[in-house]
Amino acid sequence: MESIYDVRFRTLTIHRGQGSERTGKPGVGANPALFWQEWYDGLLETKSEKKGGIVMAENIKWETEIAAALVRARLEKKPVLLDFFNPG
Amino acid sequence: MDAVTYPNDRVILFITENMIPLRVAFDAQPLSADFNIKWTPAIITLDPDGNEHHRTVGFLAPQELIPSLLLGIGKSYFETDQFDEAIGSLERLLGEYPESGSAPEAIYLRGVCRYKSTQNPEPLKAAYEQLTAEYPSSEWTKRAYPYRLL
Repeated sequence: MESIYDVRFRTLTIHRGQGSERTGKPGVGANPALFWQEWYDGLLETKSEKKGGIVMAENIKWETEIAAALVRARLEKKPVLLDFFNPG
Repeated sequence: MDAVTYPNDRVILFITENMIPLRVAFDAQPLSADFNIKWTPAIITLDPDGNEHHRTVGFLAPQELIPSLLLGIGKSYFETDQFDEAIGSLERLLGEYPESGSAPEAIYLRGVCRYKSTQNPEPLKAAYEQLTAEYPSSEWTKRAYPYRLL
């Protein structure tokens, strides 16, 4: 069974320029965001192996207009998570 | 947040089940000015009428984001006088994330909610005693200090 340390070592290896065997992507160099995304993907891959090959992660379905979000909030009786982000 | 926290399975599940996620750029007007955004990530909990109840600025790991959102939900209920619902969110926070940075404020606020819903001051003193025992250096322990006399 591959440990978390093995996954991290594997992604560290990816970022030394060898690329990803899993995705076929080239190494991403010193980009921290891509490093951690690859590291997290590695965790997912390990988790999916434990779950019999099913990757559970899906994306959050973000609203982009506050009016639409508030309409949904009233209908579904839920609060709104408003995230101001820097798209870079 | 995009690289570590938002892709997390538990974060995705929590947000999908409990909140309406809304994402806008930090400079999107008029929202940025309306909410006085000066730094990102800025994560705000709004009630369905658009009123702000909780805000955090800066990165939060998955094990801190979920309790922070639970605290925001609890504050949203508290500030709209829905004390039982507030206590439910705070109990969940304290049960699932007792080590989080949001836990001391949740203990404080749960004590206040219990007092407001019963008019019995004993929960305020109990909150102080729990904070003193479990989070002695928290600012919320200092804020609860007067309740030791109840």
